[in-house]
Amino acid sequence: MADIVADPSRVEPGRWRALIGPELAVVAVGLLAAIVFPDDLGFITRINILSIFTLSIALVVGQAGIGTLGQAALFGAGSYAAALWALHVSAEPFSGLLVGALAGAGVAAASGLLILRTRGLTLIMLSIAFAQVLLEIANKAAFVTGGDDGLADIPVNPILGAVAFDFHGRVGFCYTLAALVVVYFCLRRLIASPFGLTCRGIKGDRLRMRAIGAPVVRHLLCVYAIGGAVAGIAGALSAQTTQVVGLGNLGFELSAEGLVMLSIGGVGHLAGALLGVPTFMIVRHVTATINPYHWLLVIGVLLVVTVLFLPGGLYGMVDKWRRRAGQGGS
Amino acid sequence: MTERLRLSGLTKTFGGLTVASHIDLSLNDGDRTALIGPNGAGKTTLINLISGALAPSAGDIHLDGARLNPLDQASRTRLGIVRTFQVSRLCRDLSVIENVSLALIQRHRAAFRLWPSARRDRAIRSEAIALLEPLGLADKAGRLVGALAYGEQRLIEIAIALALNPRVLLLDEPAAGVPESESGVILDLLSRLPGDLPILLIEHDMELVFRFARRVIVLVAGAILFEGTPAEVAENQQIREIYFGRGGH
Amino acid sequence: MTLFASILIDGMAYAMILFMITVGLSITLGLMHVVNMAHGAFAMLGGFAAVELMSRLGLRFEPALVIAVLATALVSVPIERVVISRIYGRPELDQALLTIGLAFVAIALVNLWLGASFSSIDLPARLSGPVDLGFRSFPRHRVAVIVLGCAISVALWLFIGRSRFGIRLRAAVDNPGIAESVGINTTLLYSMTFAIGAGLAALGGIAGAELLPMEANYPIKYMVLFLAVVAVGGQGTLFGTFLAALLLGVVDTASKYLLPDLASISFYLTMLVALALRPQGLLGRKDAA
Repeated sequence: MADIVADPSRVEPGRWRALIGPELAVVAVGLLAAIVFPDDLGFITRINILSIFTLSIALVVGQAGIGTLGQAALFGAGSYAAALWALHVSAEPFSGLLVGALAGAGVAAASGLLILRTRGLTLIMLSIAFAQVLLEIANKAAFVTGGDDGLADIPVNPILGAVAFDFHGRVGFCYTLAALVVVYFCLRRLIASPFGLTCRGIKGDRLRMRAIGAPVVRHLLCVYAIGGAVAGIAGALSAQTTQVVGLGNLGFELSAEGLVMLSIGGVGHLAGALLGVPTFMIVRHVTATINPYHWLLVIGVLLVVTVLFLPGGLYGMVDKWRRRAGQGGS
Repeated sequence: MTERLRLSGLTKTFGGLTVASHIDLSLNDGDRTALIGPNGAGKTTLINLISGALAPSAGDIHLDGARLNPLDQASRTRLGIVRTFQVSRLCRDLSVIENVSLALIQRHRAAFRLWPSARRDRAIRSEAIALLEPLGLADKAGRLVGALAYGEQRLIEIAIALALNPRVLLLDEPAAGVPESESGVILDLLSRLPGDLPILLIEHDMELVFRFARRVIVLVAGAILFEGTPAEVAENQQIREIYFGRGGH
Repeated sequence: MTLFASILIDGMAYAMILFMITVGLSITLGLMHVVNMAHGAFAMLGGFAAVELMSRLGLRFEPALVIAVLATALVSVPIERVVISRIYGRPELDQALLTIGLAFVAIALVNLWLGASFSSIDLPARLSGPVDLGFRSFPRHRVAVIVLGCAISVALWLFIGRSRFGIRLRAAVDNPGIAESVGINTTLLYSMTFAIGAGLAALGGIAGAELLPMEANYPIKYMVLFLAVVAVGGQGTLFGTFLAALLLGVVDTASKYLLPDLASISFYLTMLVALALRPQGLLGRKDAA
């Protein structure tokens, strides 16, 4: 709805460009990166997976205004579920993704009943506490989860029974890139729907939404579960491509990193996730090899600067620059 | 005249403080009722009680004979009890048409449609434009609400209420905060509202009350002090003293 | 019985430290509505300042403590004026991100200054070793911390309840709109409150260094712990924070003694249950939730 409503001229002339243009750009950039840095496919695959994870935060936090710091609970649930499914039931990869999505959505729905009635600091702390309890359970239930050691040697069958995952990670890269593009497309459609607009309305003013008859908590529960499914898919992809799952997949650091990456990219737009994750990962890769504390200094300053001077993040900057260029041209 | 809304013995207490005391009131089709009273008389509280934002301590609310007490605010809105806010509550980061569309989406039960459809979007869009057109806001449909003048925001507030297809409309000071030069537009809008729609209007601007209302209810300290035509209210010495103070304002 | 007494003494001491560190955070949250994730950095700053004053300048414990607390309070003023004040009224998410950024910067700077290893604060003989309380003996440090914590609580209670500053503070928390209009200088009020909160955090950090050891990662490591006390207590309430510190401090200590395997989970479960039952905090007002 948003793109039609906000700017009717955008749909008609370049209809296909509006429909799948951003996805094509993601494919192009991803393939280019893979061709230029063929030795870093593992790193790029990690960026793909974290992009999906951060997209789930962009949906939940950026669109619906649910200020959570516990999104890793949903990622971890997806990765453990997919790993256990592969170890005990079937190593077919697509079914693993489905199981991961269901686990993420299920955990989101269960925790959402508790946390979505609150706001502000209480919501943040409840989401953290829930994720930590889940982490402790995974830690103690070693007979299922492997505890501190995690789960290793997770089997993955060839995709569609034909394309086997290779040692170089080429298939893993293509597989995660494809998943990223599909998720991105679906989420872009979702936020352009009446459902998505209602999410932004709830973020804007809950009281107003109640007064127009919106069942606010039910709506938030629904979007949180969808976000959980997306985070679960990211977790499942992580389990399948690295073939290990550990407690870090449920950890607070992952939740915080996701939010930081999103805010650097731009909270209010899905594209913010896709800009923020590679930026964050590359800057960390470069600075952390010098000294891990330099990295903290860089990211700390980056966060302060973003909040104070770039409220729209990188996306806001690019958008402003593009509009200025557009005005100059016409 | 069919009775739409009936309040019987409606009472609300906060701790020891009674903010609504045994209020009996009914609204019929086509009613134009104004609710006046000094600040703190409990006018907005009454709207909060009817719309479901507050739960009454005692008493009942009926719409078309059905008891509303157990229903929450959202359910009552879906049944047609629609209110506006004294201070505009709009999504400032969304455009004018998006704010109105939000209400249309609720009315059409489309809020859980997860995929956009060009046909449905066009229908909602044209319906929203049709609501904005008579307010002179159609050409500002794409603007962010936060960038609009306050008077225009008040109009959007009413447009949203109308988008919900109300059976009973509760207007909480629709002209509050609007400069006098623009309040004429709001009065004009009020006079063009559907004739059979029952309306309860809270208003401080006596000129607006007298031009709009056919019945005036005076609320003092949470209780109904007087009920009558505008002329009767204007002549009542007790009300003049309590409400208008030294000879009106 | 011995076990019970140990849990009580250790738990109380831990609670007092949590209270001293977090009370400033709670009050600034209630007053300025800023979620300050970097508050733990003030406790760390105080702790490291005390370590440095004692080891490099050879100061005794008490003067080092006083100077470190005052220095931390002083340093917090420009931080509040230059950075934190710019995010008043911004969405909580922005506040959380900016202050997490500040915490990262603090960690990195402390690391550049002193390295990543732990530092301990050498307590003078008067405060170490056991003390006999009649029925049995306890670590002197724990008893001293409890006495200090109680004294600070009473002092704060009197200060906020009786002083002109406290009256203005409460007025501004209760009616943020009105405070400015009746002539309360909110800028000064905010700076002073922030500085007092930072100073108390430094005091708690130094006093608690035996339980929460000083290291560069301190602000992030204990961030959730400190925020939990504030959320469970209810933002802006002195007694709520005190009760929450007691609850979480004693629960955490008890479970470390009794169920060491489940210590972490019982801490988070306590917080989860407390917030689920009272989203606005133990003594918080409903509209704050």
